[in-house]
Amino acid sequence: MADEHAHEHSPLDHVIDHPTLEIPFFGELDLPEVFGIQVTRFMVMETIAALVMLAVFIPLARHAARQQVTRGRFLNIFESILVFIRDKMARPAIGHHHADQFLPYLWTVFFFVLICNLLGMIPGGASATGNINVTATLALMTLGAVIVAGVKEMGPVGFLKNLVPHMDVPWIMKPILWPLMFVIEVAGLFIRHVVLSVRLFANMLAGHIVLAVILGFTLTVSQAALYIKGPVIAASVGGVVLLSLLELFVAFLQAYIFTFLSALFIGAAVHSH
Amino acid sequence: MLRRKLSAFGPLMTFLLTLTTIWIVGGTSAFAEPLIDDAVQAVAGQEHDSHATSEGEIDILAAEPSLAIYTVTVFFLLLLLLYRFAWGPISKALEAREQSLESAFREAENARAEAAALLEQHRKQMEQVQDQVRQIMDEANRKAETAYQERLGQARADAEATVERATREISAAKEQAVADLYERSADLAVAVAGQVLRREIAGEEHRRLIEVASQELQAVGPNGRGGLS
Repeated sequence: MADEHAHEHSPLDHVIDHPTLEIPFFGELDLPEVFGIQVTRFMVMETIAALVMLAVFIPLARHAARQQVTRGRFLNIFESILVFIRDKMARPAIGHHHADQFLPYLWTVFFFVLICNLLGMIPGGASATGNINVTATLALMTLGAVIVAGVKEMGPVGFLKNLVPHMDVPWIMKPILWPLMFVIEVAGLFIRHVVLSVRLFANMLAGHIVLAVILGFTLTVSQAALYIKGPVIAASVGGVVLLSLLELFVAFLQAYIFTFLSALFIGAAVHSH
Repeated sequence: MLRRKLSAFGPLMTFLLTLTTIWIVGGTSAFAEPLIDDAVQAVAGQEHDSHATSEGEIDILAAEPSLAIYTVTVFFLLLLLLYRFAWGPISKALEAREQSLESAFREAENARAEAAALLEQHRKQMEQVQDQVRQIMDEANRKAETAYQERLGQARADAEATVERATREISAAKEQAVADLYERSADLAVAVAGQVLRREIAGEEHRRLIEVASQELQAVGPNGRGGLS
């Protein structure tokens, strides 16, 4: 059994999408095809993340609407994070008035990314944010929010004009420099969001690959003598525990970074340079 | 109400429309993937190539349009549901709580200032009252002292007057007594003289009697005052 696993094992096997769902101590569950589309593990994980969010925030909203003071550790944790995102990320980055308009998006994206990240840390789970398709979609939504924010604030032409920062150059240089800057800034706008998606994807992917590789050592030495495989297994399990703690931190950090950068991009779009 | 709700959903709708446009222009998810593919290959570079060659069929950058579309769907459903049932009420509740906290703090501050002012006022009043009490006590003490002195003086004067009157009465009584005594003596002398005159007295005898009588008289009235009466 172990031999078979060792033969099949590849660190990347754990981070790519599968049409199966892994259930601890039970085995692999084949996922069905719905309307000709194969349901995959990441789709299930996203659904779980969405359901978790609904299960947490709707009761929180009910509670908050009913009572002046939020009671209980559980609800307070989430509420303080919401307030943190509003007061320390959205409002400083976007400005008070506009921030509240985009707050629902930022709140949703933060918790969606966070829960997707964290789902990779539980047995049988997987990080949907470790897939470029997911992060690219999320980054595209931020891009959409940026464009909406900019166009709403300054109009389509104003938004494009606002991309180019004010240049303190002689008037004769402007006709040459301005188009150049415009092209650079438009490219920059897209590159920013590509990098936004790659940052999250690469971080989550790398973390899981590293964990898989280190845990893979145990399978590699499974045929070796006890005095060899004992220390190796101990070291790799210890390493995985420590790195998992790091991953836990990274899960929060990346959700924070993704949300904060989204807020910064939106803020840059609504303010003239 | 409906209008407000619609305007609240305004940015969201625009957002959705923009995304759909981007989606359509990009040709489903193929828009993002090649661009990102290139970028990631440029960034990840070597690593990705080595993985791709060594692992063969596993491609971490494989485009999965169904997953991308599913992500959009799930995300927007989630956004809409949470917007309607969670974020809106939470935002409102947070705002309401902040306002109530602010007003509570302000009211508490006002109440504190008022209490301090009242306390100060109270303290001043207490001091005034104490001053008044002290004045009243002093006044009362002074009056009592004066009254005591007056009474004492009166009593002393009365006593002296009484003593004087008594002395006067005593001396008056004594004089009266002396006067009475003289009168009685004179009467007695007259009576004795009458008895003597009724008898036949010889020359010698007569002279001796007069001498005795005058001597007696002299002995009774030492000042010679009652001699004639």
